[in-house]
Amino acid sequence: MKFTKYILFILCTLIISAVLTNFGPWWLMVVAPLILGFIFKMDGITAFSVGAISLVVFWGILIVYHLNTTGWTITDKMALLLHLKGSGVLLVIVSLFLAGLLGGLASLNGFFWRKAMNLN
Amino acid sequence: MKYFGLLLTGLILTGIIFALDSKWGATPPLGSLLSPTHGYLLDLELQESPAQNTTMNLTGLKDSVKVFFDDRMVPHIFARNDEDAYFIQGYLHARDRLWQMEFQTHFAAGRISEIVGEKALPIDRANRRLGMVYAAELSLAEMEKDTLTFQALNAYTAGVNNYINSLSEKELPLEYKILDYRPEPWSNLKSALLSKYMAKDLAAYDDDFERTAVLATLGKDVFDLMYPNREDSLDSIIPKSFIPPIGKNPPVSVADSSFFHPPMPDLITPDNPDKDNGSNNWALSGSMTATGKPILCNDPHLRLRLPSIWYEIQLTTPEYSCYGVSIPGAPGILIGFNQDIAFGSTNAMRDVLDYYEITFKDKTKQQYKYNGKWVNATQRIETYDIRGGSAVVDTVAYTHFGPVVYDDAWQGLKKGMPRTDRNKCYAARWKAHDPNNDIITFLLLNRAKNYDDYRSALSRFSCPGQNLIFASRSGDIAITQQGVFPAKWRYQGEFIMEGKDSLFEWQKMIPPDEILTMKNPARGFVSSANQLPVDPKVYPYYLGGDYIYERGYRINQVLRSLHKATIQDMMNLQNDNFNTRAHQIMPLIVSNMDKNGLSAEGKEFYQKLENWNYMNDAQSEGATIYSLLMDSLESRIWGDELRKSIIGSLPEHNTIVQDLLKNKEFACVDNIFTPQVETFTQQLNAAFQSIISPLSDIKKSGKLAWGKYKGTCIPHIIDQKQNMAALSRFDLNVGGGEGIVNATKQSHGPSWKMIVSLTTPIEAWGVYPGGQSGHPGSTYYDNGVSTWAAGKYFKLWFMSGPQDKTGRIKQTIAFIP
Repeated sequence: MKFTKYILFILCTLIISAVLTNFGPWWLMVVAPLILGFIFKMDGITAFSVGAISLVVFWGILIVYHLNTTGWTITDKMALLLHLKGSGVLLVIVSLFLAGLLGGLASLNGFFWRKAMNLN
Repeated sequence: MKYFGLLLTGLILTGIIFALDSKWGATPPLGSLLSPTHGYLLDLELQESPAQNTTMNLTGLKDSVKVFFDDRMVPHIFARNDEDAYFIQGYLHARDRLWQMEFQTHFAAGRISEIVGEKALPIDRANRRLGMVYAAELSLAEMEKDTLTFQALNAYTAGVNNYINSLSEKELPLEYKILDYRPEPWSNLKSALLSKYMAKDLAAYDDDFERTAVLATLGKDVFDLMYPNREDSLDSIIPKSFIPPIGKNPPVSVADSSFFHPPMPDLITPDNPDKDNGSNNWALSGSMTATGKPILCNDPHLRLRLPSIWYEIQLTTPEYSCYGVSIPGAPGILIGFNQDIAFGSTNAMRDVLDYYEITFKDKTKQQYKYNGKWVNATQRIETYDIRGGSAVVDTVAYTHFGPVVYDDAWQGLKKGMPRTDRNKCYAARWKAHDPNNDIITFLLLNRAKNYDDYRSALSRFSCPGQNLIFASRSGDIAITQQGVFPAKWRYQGEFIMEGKDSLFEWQKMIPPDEILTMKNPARGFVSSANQLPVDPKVYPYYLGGDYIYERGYRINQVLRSLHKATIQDMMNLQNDNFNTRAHQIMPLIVSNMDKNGLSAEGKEFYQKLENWNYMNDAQSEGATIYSLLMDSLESRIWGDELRKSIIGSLPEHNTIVQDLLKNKEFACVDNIFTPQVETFTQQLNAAFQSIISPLSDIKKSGKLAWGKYKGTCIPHIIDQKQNMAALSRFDLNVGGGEGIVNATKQSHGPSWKMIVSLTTPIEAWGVYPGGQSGHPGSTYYDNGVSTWAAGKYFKLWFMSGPQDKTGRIKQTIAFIP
């Protein structure tokens, strides 16, 4: 049951984030985990974890999709430019870490809104 | 607690988002850059997964246009009318090179500080104070008077803007994301700015201040040793027998002894383009070739950058079909061929930028003295919008000569020079300020069918002066030093001139029928490599400028020896690494070296030098030793004079060779700061001793071979420090060098090599160190670099029509209105 809830969280994030970032700036992707963190009843650690995973999955899918069409050239070049010793893999890990951090924080923030409004 | 958590997570979240969404110094906004929804990964989608056949609707087209992309992504455009061809050229230039074309025109317009902030303000001021925008505005008005040019520019601009408007923020090229800004609409003025960008590169080399300083401090005799007028030039472009009849009114010299004893100028060292911006070209008549048909070759030497300055393209309309290289930012093809003719150019190197000292009535610079009267100056207000700072306003006074480039507000780019007198004002008289339409010449050459069409296209060209070469399938070859050049008296414009009276002004331009040109000479070839256009003894107009003789000398030597020349012969010559200068000077070096005074290591290096075959091949160690020795010798011989003159510029590298060959104890050999008189032998041996230790270090680092030592690289346009390996190409193992036919210096040299055989059908080969795409992640970003570095070529596919399937078509796009 819990597991279904998490899957639902992630799926909703994917859809909402895809729509929002298609029309707005990149950071609008945090809106979905924030709202879902507020709606879904979870403890703090779970809220952070599911939020983090949801955006890691969101970026992860897109990164894999793009790497499939562009190859690794541009990613390796960007890694060189950003002083990551030319390791595109490392750059992808850093990117996913950032996505996870933002997703986790957003979801956790939603969780605290829920608490602040005494909705438990 | 619950509020604390809410507040804390909220703050951290917004803080991180803010940090990742902002540009910090040179660090780009990382969030959007890394995000797969907006960032670097989106740059390429158009490039990398093209459908084989697509149809695109473009509003603004008159008719449908078909474009075939070959295996190097060269577009072959088939349009039903001129305007559609230029529209699509603009569209594709933008699709593949938008950032580059906009950045170059921002540079010409002095607007880089809008993108990168205050650090670019000096370079922006240098460009604006030279009057680049002023020149572009005047030329645009001239261009728009001509129907063909006006239509071409309008269609081109519409094509570029169509692409820009189709881009969403996420689809912007990578450099916009890294530098965090957006493109603005294209305009015809930007194309005019591009033409001034080229004019500055090719016709704005100026050393009037430096030379005046040398003359003032060292006198005319030493001046002539340092900057000789090569009257004994070996092999000019146009032989004497082709000099046209000269009219009756050659310019009258007003130079008197005061002209040759000038006061020391203000210590200004102008922002000069690379001295070696030049090129090689030659054309062989059918009598000299294996096929019996003419061959035309051209390789322009410019800064080597990624994305490349050139973009290959084939433009076809019902009237003509032309293949060659274009410059992103302007319609038409600059160097190329069509079904009937081939054309190319090298730089004329004439001095068409002179400085006049202006005497203003007062500090407001409203009036200046001219022919005994006070004449009104105009003021142009230049506003620099600086990113992350407040706008800077600069007022530039304009005289009838041109803009007052240097005054109390601006002393040039190089800092640290003490100003002797900050009240002096210097106005530039620059040919590129005169209204001119040089785009039309290329639009007409693209569709020229024969020699007469070629000459009539050239007659419209005025600046930057070029040696425009021509060959036709009907068998003609020709070369013309085309441009509108001031008719100068001897030494006019060599030094800062007096702006108070008209005597020193350019009196007139050389009449068009006295232009230097040559058609079908008996020797069977025409050529140019930035040498003197003609023997100055027999041409009444002063040629000034800085000419380079070695490449031309070697090219002509090789061409004279050819019989039934093949394409391979032409490739060999474009890649020829023979060092003419070393061949001339080495016997003198060998006979004056004291081998016994050398250490064991020194002897080893010397042995390599003595056994060297004068070829600057990539693996040659002798070439590296020679290069270091000559650098050291030059600084020993000229260093003292340059120190005394404070701002004097290093003479041409060939000057020391010519001076030494005439008299090895010429005046400059002695160090004027020591009591004793140094001899050439002393200077040479000291120079050799001084390079042993550096050579030893170079050897230890495994870089003694010339190619490794030179370390040819092609940096990205924004890679000023040449350390952005991600966007640049480093450590290419290439031979050649300055003064060598293969003119590859570290990051300057043959920017496009082309060989055209005017057979039926026409065959052509070409390569440039870059690729069609300006997108760093694209396979086509630098796919030509390795081929270029290896001295190899691509066979160019001159597509005969939409039905032609002889080449490899990678993609086809049908553009429909």
